[in-house]
Amino acid sequence: MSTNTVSATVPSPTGEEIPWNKKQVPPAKIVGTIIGYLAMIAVSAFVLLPFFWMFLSSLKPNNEVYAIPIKWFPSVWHWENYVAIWTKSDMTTWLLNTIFFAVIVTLLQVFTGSFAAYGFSKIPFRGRTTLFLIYIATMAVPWQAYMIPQFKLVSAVGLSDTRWSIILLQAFGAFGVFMMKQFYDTIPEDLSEAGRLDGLSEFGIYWRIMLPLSGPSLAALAIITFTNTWNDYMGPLIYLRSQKLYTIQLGLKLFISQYNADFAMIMTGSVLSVLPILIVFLIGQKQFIAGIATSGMKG
Amino acid sequence: MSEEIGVVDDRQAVADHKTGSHGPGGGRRAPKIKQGKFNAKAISRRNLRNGLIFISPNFIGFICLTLLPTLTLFYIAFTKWSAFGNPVLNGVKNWVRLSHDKIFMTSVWNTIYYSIVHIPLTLVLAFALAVLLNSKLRGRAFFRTVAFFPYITSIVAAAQVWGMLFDPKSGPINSFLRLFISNPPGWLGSTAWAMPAVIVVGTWREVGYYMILLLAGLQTIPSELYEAAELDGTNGWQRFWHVTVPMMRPTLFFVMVTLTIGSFKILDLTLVMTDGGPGTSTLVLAQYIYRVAFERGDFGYASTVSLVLLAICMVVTLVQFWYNNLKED
Amino acid sequence: MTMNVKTVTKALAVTTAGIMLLAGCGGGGSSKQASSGSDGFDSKAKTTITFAGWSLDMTPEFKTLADAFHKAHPNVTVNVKQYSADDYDKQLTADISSGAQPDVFPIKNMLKYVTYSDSQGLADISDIAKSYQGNKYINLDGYEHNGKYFALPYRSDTWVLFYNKDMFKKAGVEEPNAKWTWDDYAKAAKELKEKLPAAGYDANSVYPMYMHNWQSVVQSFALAQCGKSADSTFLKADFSYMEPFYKRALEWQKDKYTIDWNTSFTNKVQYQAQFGTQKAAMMPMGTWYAATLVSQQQSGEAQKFSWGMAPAPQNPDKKLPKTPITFGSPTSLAISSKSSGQKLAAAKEFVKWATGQGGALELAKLSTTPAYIDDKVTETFFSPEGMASDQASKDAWSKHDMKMEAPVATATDTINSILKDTHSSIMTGAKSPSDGLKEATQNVKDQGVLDE
Repeated sequence: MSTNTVSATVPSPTGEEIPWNKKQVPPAKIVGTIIGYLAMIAVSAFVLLPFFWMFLSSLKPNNEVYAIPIKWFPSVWHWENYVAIWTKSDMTTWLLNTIFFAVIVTLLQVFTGSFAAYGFSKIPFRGRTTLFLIYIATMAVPWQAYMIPQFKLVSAVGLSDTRWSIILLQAFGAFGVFMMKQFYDTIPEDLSEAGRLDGLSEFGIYWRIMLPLSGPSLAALAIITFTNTWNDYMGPLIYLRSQKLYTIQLGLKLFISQYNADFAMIMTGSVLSVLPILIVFLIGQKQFIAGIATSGMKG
Repeated sequence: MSEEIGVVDDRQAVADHKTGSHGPGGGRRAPKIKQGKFNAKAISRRNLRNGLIFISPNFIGFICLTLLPTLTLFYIAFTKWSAFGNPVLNGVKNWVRLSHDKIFMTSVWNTIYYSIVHIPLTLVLAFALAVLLNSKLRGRAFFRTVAFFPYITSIVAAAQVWGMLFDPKSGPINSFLRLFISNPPGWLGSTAWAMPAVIVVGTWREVGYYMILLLAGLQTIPSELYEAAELDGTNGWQRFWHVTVPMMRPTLFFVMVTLTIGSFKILDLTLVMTDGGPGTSTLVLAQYIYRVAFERGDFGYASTVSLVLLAICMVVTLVQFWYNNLKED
Repeated sequence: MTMNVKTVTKALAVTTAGIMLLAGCGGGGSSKQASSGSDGFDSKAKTTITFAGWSLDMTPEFKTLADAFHKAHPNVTVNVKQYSADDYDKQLTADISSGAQPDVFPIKNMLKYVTYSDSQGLADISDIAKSYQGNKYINLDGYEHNGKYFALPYRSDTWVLFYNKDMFKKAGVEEPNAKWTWDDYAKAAKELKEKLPAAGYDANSVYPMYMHNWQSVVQSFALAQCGKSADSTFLKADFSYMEPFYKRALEWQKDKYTIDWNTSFTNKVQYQAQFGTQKAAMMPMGTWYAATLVSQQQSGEAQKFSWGMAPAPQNPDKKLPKTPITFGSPTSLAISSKSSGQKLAAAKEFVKWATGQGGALELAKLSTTPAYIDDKVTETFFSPEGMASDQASKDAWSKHDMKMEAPVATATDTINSILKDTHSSIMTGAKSPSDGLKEATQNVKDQGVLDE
């Protein structure tokens, strides 16, 4: 993708739809737009390829999945995989559990993250730089390195193999705080200052001014947290033993290992595990746009 | 714990306060007190209280679940520990071992190699896509979804497809390359080409993710700024450098730091695609830590290596911090 | 936000303060060893013990053992808990580290036996081991650790040569026998390569053999058959004994007798499919594959053909041994050191039964290879329909000199993990066998695990 494309498309948000603003479109812009479309189409195809393969494989007879050379389309379409996986496994339980975890974790992460981010971004309290650095530092440590000490800590208070363990594990990450702080930093100080002059408390400024302004970033944080919680395998693997608590990733992996060479089934599971995130993502997309509307800024 | 930190950092807060007008975050002035008496101490105390109230819901959870276990690494790194029983202190033995460990050196080098190529590549592509999608192109909603696909597609499926695409004999990539060169690379089976292949897949997977973050930042730039700049007779390129980039600085900083840390911590991709091979050609630091801990049951030494990873990430992050502040001042 | 050196120093200071707080927080593992031995088993007391297993629907051995034991001892209920098949060791590590392990749990392979034995999470079960003293039907070599036994084998898969009788017959090549060396194996492969296409097999996709991409396929055969003890080779980081084995393996893939390692690895080729769909006429593999093959032939996932097991080919550079030498990796049962009283007594009774003839017969019925093998067990194992039933297969299955896949020692984990990289770099041709093995020696020495 050339940088020309970028520069040519930047000015377009200036609102060509407004009739009195209409002017001659320069040819460079047209070329830029065409390149933009071509780039989008090329990248889409490239990006979707593995997903297509995953989907097509889920419908193949098992021995065609890993055929060499690669075979794209099944010789017989096995739609029944999608029925079988529901009847053979506890898919419904796993889905419900995962939705529960993902929703709670996302709510907690978005709320506590944006709340703390406000503190870090807008209140100059003693020690905030140090604290903030510590937050970032922990992001640099791979979870596998401190997994066992953490597990011992959680077990010591009797929370392993409970719903709490997964919620606690995911909800207080440094990521959300860092992300929201950086977004708050872009919001001009004058806005919160104006709020203070109007007699708003700090909480009032957060609630009335900051939150409505941060729609797109909150949506991004929510989408990412939801996706990460949804796709987490190692956390549930280490913390959960009761089958009634299984999440979709853990359940699928265990289910699949029972049919250790049933690759079509593995792909069926993978496709099903992706679909709910897509739905969340599409809803989140709308939020992007809604966020802009409430903030009164036109993207 | 948090109180203690507050005390330790007393002077810093004052310094923050004095020079506070530079950065967007530091620009907050003391709240106006209507009674008139300006008391620096009272304000500082009040800020501390308010600050702690805001951060505590997250911070308490963070201390218990992330900070405490992470801090134990600083102790475990000086012990011999198999995850069972109590760690046994063994002084600097792990560190001496680290200094002779060629596999460790290789994994540091591989990690740097991955990061140095992956970070700029991902950043440029993600930014370009975000700018593109922030425009009024038709079908952008569809494309936004598509670009995020790789991030949610199962990594096993992704690795499988890429493995086939990269297949040296029958893969489409080499079939294509053969049109131009007679002897295309062996990709995942070659020590020289496995890492480039991993980088391609890593970039493919993460571009959409960072694009979403950057897009969220772009969405918050008021369009009035562009309009004003356009009235000044600037062209698109100038607007990009003088409006978009400065306004995006906090977001870019965030993306840079997470992208850097994420690249240095890369694990799942090599685990599934190459398992570090052939030989140790794609063995990265995080995977080495994972191996030492889980394959060899040597959690003491794994913690030692983790601290090195932490140190590398911190140095790079601090440089970014410093550069970011320099730009803001 | 401003940032300076002082801030960093402070961040470090706070960190240090945190460590002081945590100095007492690092441990916490169990160190109390439940006293064992004194509690007698009371068959009338109602007791429930927990037992770890994986892939419960497809690996019926756990439930079968639990139910059969309950039938024999109606007052003891064995509760099977589901674990992950692939990540069992991670879950068990977490469990033992926090003292939450089940009463009875399998130790999946011997690589981790010493680590677990030293964890203080395993009860000393030397008394059960003593009851097997002098018993020729079960082999407890390698289980004694510091004079004690912490686990006992209940399954013991060994490596044999699976071969497709139909393919040999159609091609007119003589079937493998107990006197085969790896050279004979290669010779047969050459003959098959020439004759299979004429017998109607696709020359492009059907190979004479399939060598799976695991390191044990080369390395463990080399260790078992090199004729030297692991103490003077493997555990001294001297890997030169593998060189001839690697040279042969590389030659076979060069001659296209097998799918090459790189294709097998990056395309995640399944050995079950290679042999089960008649894409390979011979395949060295563990005896667990027999059960898979029988059930896949029944379900139609594998094609129907007649097959057999022959002893693993032997080292051509050594005198042919009386009993064929092969390797295996037994799966064992251990008891939690946290169990006490009637739970401990019942757990011991269960382990004693499961590792003995009682458990072995139940396992053999499932086509699972038990560690305890007498004539009755052999007969049971070979009785199901679809199982190879010729005498040669029976002998290959039951008569062998089994060495451990890797030596049972503290350094094994580390050495094996380094050898894994060596395997991929030699098999992809990135390094010559001698360079790769020399590098492995150096890498192992650098880890400083040898002198411990």
